[in-house]
Amino acid sequence: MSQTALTFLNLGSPTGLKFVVDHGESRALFEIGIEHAPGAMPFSLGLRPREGRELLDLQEAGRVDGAGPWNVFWRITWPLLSPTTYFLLFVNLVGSFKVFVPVYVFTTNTGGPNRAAETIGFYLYQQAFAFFHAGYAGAISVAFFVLILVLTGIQMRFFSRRVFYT
Amino acid sequence: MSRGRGRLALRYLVAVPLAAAFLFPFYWMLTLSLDRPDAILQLPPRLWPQWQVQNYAEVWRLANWPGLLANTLVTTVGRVALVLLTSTLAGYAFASMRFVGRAAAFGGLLAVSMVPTEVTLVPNYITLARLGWIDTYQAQFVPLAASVFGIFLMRQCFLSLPADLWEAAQLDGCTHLRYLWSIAAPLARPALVTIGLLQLIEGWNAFLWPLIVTSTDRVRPLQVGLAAFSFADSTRPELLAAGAVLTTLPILLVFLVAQRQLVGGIAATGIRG
Repeated sequence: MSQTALTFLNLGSPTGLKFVVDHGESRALFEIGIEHAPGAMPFSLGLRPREGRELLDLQEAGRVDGAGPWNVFWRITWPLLSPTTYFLLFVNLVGSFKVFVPVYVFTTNTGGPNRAAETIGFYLYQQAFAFFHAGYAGAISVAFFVLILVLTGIQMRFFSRRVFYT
Repeated sequence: MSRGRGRLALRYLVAVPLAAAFLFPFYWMLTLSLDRPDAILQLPPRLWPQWQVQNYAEVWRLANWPGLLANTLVTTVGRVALVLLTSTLAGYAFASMRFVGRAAAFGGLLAVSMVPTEVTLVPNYITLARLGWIDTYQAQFVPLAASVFGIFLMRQCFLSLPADLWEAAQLDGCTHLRYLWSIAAPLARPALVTIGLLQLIEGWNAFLWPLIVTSTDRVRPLQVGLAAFSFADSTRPELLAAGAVLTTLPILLVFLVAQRQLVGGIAATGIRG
């Protein structure tokens, strides 16, 4: 539900930050999120097998040393998967800003009721290719890029400490 | 024994609903495409269609599907071929050739790949407009001819080849290009297949870029044509679903045939194109 974050940011709206209260509006973005989430998921699951064998060995070692299922998961499995989790968190967060196709298709290129389903990607597209504000769209691109850069910086600072690499 | 069985049951308990959640949209699309328009709007929705196969005949008449399909094929094949070529050449250069600034160039390439494509949408469009390439085939694949992921994967692959191979080939009088063509590239076939498949799927599903650089059905790909069709006939969900089935079917077949290579490629690299 990373899309919900976009509701609060809602950078495209002329009123700046706003909370979407109206039911129809909040539902529009929620539906986009529902559509978007399954697409990201196979990728998330697909990454897991890569670490599988090593993980199984260490889980076995933990069990031999007397760790119960709870400890095996929280002290072995979860930390060992943390690089993948961290990577997925990052990729999906950045990806959620770029969401375009479901917004375009579901709202028939309008951005939804009162533009409630707009994402940055969609707003950029509209400004550039529907209203032909090339300069403004260029400015959105730069702002978007800076935003992602800052987010990446924050993530690296706060999450990398919790990530364990083997 | 019973513990193992309980664990297996638990796995199925998680896996089956997940699989169902992913399969349901496909099933629903198929059901809608075969349903009668009045049955679709019924509440509660029916999970079994009131068979009406002529939806497909009707949707077939409403858009130039063969033309759209041909456009998709041309741009996708062009994209796959160009990406394979550039990935092989650049990957080889980065892996096996010595030149000034190699590490910096490779680092720069990886850094560039971090920039979302959306950010460069406007400048790229303007470049193409100045070239006079708007509404052409080449606009849809030439700007996408180089893939950082492809170059990266090929480089990793060439790095894993033993250095003796190149030395032996060199003694036999091989140039870099000859060695690449006759020895290194054939050995890198699994990586080439992975890159090709991922590009094929991405090319087939490409939407935003073709939407921007095309304006007529003459060069427009299937996906963009489908969206245009959906805007024009949004009151006919059964026709839309039939159109969606038509556009999904070919790539679904490719996926089913090549599933193993695809999943293997993603698992081996940990990256999706």
